[in-house]
Amino acid sequence: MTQLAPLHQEFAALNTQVFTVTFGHPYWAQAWLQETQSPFPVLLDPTQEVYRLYGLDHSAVRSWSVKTLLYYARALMRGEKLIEKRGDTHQLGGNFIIDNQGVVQFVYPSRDPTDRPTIAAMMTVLKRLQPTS
Amino acid sequence: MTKLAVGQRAPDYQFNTLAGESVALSDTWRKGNHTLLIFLRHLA
Repeated sequence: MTQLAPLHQEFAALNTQVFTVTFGHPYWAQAWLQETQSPFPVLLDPTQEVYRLYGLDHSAVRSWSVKTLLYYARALMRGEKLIEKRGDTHQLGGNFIIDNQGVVQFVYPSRDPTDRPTIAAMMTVLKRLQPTS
Repeated sequence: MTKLAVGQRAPDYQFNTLAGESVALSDTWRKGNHTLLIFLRHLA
């Protein structure tokens, strides 16, 4: 998210509305927003219904894999502060691009907590959706 | 669980926002905008 925030004007130029979706309690969502200063609106999905609608996985095994534990260990070694758990730690995230006709154009369900698509991959799709002059 | 695929119609949904508003994904599409949805994990 911190990598995407500086691009919010670029997303706007691509006629793209970015939303973050969370199942977290609004109190923690507000705290997260203050910590990250994310410029994107936060949509609340407290029952994780939309996570299921979009086919996102819920996996204890993949949430706490060796890769994930190493990721957190490296973050601690860099001096980053880990925050106490705030909700369902087994729910995985993901990114989706939907065009202005409501058709899915990009699907990226995270395989584990550290897995996200590259910005380049998402920008390629969004640029392809722009009208040709 | 059904997995979404490129080319399918996206499920619409009426959300409440953290700012206290109500937003449907289809509102964005009707305005001619594409949507990038980022589903977060737990807020740590």
